[in-house]
Amino acid sequence: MHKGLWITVLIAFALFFGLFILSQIPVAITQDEVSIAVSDAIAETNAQVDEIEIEQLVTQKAVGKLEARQKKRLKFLVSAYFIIWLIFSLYALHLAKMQNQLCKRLEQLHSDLQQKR
Amino acid sequence: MEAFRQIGWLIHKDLALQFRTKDMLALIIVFSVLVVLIFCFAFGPIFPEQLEERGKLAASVLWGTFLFAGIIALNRSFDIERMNGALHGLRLTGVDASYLYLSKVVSIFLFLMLLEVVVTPITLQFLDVLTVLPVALQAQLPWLLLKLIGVIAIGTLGFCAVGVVVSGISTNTPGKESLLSVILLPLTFPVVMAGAKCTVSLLTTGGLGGNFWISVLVVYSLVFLASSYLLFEFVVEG
Amino acid sequence: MTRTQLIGLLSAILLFVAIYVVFSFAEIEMTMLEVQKIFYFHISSAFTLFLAFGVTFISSILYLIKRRDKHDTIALVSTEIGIVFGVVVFTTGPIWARYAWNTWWNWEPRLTSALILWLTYIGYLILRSALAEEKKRVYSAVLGIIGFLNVPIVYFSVELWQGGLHPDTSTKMNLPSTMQIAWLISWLALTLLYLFLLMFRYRTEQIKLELETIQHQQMN
Repeated sequence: MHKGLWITVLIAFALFFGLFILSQIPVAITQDEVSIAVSDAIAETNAQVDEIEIEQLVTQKAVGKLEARQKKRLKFLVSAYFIIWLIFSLYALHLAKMQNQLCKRLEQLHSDLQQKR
Repeated sequence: MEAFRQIGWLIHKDLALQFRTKDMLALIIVFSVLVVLIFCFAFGPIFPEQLEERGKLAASVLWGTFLFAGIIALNRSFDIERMNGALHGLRLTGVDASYLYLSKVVSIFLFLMLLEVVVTPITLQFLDVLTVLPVALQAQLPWLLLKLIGVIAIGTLGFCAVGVVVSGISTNTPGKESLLSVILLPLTFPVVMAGAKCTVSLLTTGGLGGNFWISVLVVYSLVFLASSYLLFEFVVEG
Repeated sequence: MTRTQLIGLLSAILLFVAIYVVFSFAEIEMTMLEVQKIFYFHISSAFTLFLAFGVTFISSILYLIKRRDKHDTIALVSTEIGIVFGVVVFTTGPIWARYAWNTWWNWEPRLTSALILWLTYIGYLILRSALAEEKKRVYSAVLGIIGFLNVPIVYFSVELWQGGLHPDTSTKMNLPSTMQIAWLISWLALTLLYLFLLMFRYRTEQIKLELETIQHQQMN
């Protein structure tokens, strides 16, 4: 039943392509997130230097924090969708394989029967 | 009237079989006490001070024990029926399948109730629940125990209603004991939940804590009695 | 192209569209941010799980009334697929819970009743494989009915038991329209996928039956 296999591969491909799209999600930053990150960063850089240097340091830290947070979130998201993809593909492949084997045995039986006649 | 007479005889037959040799009753009571002891060793010897914690512990021990004992009793009861084709013999006498179901439910219910009446006070004593009860409750202890037995009775009825059908099915398989528990336990979650909640609130306040949980127990028992009553015909036909 | 293949193709396309819509079209939720996107497939799988076991329930009843092997096969196949969807629900659920509540499991009534239903039907499959050929159809139909009857009671009691400590976690009512569209499309896609798997698996079961009858004939 190679046609069944073909559809299985198609579904697997569609889900896999979804994972590809996933790498292109727009960055989501809310106002709250920024202000939390900035205040965290300010608290951590309690250096007594001139204002421009402080601002630079703070921005650097804040950006780093935002990126780390998003990385963590994406890890959750990617793992969830990867698992979904894995489960469906494995099940579909299992089905296709089972049907293939059964069909082969059926054909063999039919040919055996005809030879006997 | 004929129906009642038939059901009465079937119950009589089941109970006679259960009690002719006392080994089954002895076995199941000893088993239950052992389960309770294991819980006691796990949580004791000093049990939680607070009344509510103690009540929760007692409720979980009681309901866990009853579930295990119930599964053993169900397995045993259908083993007897299947062993020498006794069920076929019964069917040949022209007894209605639904009577058979009702009589099985009643006889296993009575058997389990006997067990529970014995095991409940023992458990409460082992877990030392009675001494931490508030004075007002201690004054009316018999009444409290009666209410407790009532709640347990409704839960047991629900358990038997499902259990008889499921064990009727599972006796046909190899390895029936393990299979029965795998199929029956997910079905009895509401009984355990509601029964344990009722028990906890009885032991801590003396009341049922609203009508929610007791109504869950009653509804569960009714739903499964009705549906199993209808479905049991298919179970004995095979 | 057979009907099964058509539905398979359709579900593949729709899955593709669903994933595109979920990731690029639906707006990003403001408290969970990107992680909220798990929701679309998690909830849709849960819906499909209930649908699958509902189909088992109905075809079990039909089998007991009409005694056609067709209904019994549908019940078996639907149960198996429902369990696969359950695996999806119970792996994505913890990932969501871990991010949202910093724990791997929470006793949300819908999730809990789905879990109990799932366990019941795993028992159904185990029972089926243990029973002898001539008995398993009727017996598993009985279990299929009883297992599903348990659902409303379980749901009600879990809700009571859990006592409304958690806020209603997955409100679908006040979703923005883009999210609603994404959810609807992914739900439709998974339902079609279920239908495709059902038909495909049904065919497998038919081939198995054919094989058995031929082997039986040869024996005689």
